[in-house]
Amino acid sequence: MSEPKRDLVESPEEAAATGTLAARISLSQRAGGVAVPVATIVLAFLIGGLVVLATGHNPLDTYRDVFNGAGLNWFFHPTTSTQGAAAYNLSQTLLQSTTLILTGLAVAFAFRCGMFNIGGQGQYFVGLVVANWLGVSFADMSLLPHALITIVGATLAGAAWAGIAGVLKATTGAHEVISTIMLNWIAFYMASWLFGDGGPLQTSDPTRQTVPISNDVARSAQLPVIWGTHGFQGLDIGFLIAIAALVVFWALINRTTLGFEVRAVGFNPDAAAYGGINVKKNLIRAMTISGAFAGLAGALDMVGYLYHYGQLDVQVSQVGFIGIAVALLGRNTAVGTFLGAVLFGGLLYGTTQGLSSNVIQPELATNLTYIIQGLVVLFIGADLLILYVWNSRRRLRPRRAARAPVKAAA
Amino acid sequence: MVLFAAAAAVALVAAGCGGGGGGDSTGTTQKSSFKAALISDIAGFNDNGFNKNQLKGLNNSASKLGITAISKVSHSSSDYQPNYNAAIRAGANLVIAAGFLLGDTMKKYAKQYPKVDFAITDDSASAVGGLKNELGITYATQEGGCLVGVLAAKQAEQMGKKIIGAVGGIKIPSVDSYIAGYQYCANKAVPGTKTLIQYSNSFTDEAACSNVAQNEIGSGAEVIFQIAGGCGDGALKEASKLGKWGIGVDADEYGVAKNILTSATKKTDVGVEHAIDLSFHNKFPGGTDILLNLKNDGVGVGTISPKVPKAWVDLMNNYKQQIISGKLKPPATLSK
Repeated sequence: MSEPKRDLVESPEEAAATGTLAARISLSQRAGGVAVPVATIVLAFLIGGLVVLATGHNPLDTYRDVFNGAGLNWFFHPTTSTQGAAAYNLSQTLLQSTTLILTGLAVAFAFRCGMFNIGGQGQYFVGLVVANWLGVSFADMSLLPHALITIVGATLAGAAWAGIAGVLKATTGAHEVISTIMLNWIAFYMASWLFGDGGPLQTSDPTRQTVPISNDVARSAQLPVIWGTHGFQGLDIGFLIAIAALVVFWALINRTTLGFEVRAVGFNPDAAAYGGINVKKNLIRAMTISGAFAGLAGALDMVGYLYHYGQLDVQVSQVGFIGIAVALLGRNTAVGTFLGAVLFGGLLYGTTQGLSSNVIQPELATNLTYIIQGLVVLFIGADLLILYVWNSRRRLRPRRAARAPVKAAA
Repeated sequence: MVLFAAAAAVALVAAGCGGGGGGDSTGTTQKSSFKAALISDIAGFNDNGFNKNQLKGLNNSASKLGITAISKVSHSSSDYQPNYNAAIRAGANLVIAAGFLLGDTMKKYAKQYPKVDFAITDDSASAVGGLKNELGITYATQEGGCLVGVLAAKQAEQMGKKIIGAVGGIKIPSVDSYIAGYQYCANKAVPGTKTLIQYSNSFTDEAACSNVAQNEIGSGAEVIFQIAGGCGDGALKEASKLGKWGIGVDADEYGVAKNILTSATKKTDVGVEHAIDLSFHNKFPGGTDILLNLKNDGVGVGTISPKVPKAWVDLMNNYKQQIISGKLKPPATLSK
């Protein structure tokens, strides 16, 4: 019975589909409900299990190790002796998820405007750099203003960085995929230089003159910890700020004129322009807000628990790119992004901690981590295929046959 | 009575045996209750050298001393603290940091857990707080760098241009000490030898090092010394492809490409085993450093290509003797 209703809702969007990659992905992502992302995850874990089996280990044991490594066993027996370890692991999973929620939102917001923001990584670096600079300076300030200035400054810097891509798109038509990738490399080398030997943000500790790591942000800029110990990577209030950002994202998209315009441009820029919406303004606006989320991710990591950053950390950071997977898996919605971020946070931390036992050789554990993560990402891409099958099943119904020629012509 | 006495005696003997056996097994449990942990840096244990060798050292010690080995792999700097946390929760008596990147984290935990021993590869105890439960495991890599520099200079001279190249990963002390020794002794063995120094900005991306090697060879370098881990293998392959020579680093990289002169080795496994021995036997020299150098065979050269003339090897061995005797002291830092 629900079938015809869904068709009604879907048809205008389908008709409005434009040629842009992001618009098409975003459109197909809205179809299929939660069944497709769930099927995606199940499939990834099934195949991941086969790979584990091929290496001669029990997949169920391995997944149990990952589950426990992520601290999720805390929910089941919070009273046993593993409580301390489980609670700590869970706090770390949430810490990793905090970053991914925000880098996920950075991708999701641009998607809703029909743009593919690959630049989350670069915007994150810009946020980190500015947060480190502001957090190390003004050391005499008191906590609230210092932390606030640092977070706001870094968020604005991330917004400005992404705004460059938005302005380029709006004024010259430069594709945001290309420009954000290029901006990523600029941010990468800039951060690498700033934190590197002789760079302006390198440590001023006289005993560590040649170490390519920054100074710690001042105590006054470090956020309070809500679960765990301060200074020992406890879960800080950055997690709550990320949750608040999810609410802001939802409200912006669904309850404001800005969100309506952004979505309208995402559905079909031509139709939006015809309806009196300033497309260029919205492209810049959406990109800027995207960058603000990624910049905030960098800021919260810096003042929340990292406090410093090194040239080599710049090399291995992937959070911006994982954010793309999080947003795609989460269907570019607030709730979906949250769930996607917790899944990836758990996978990242759970595989690192859980598989780092002596059951699986440490050399192999690293590869298993990458394989399981890679499979999830791969199948998120493949969910378009699942959707295709899903939709063609419906297309085969006789009652829709009459519409088929119209669609073929379009 | 006799029977009774005999029975008592048997019982006593049995008790004695039991006691003896029990004593032995307590002895073994005491030994095996010692736990040593190793925490990798962000390169993980698959880096075919630095971290992997240390894991080998940990496992060697585990089988030699009958202790429990705990290895924790890090994929990002946010993994360092959870790994220290997990190692200490698991009851580690000694936690070894696989590289200077872990210094900040080690400093915190060493302060928090004064009863646990902490050691760090490639950094000195004074750099991480100089506490009584901290040990630095340092390597005089400039000495190995010096020896390969001698061969590189001779090879470049023979090939026509007195130019040699160094491909560093990132400008960090443990990379620069190799290059400093290399440059110093190359110029000493063949005066006027010029050393080109560039960094690839990566320890993993082979293409990046291959580009840097190509660049240096384009500027006339005849020999390329890689100090960039897995990335540097790209430099060695590129050098062979262009008909030049390469020099490996950390591990013996003789098989990596066709034209490998030799490798400057750094036995990080030996350092780890040494630190575990000291902690295990309660002789942990807290607050100080152990130095692995040419003299105690902690650094050296790997397989030397059979194409290298014996005269050069003799010259290199001459340098080696001078360093061991203290007559020659290659610098550990590059002059700015």
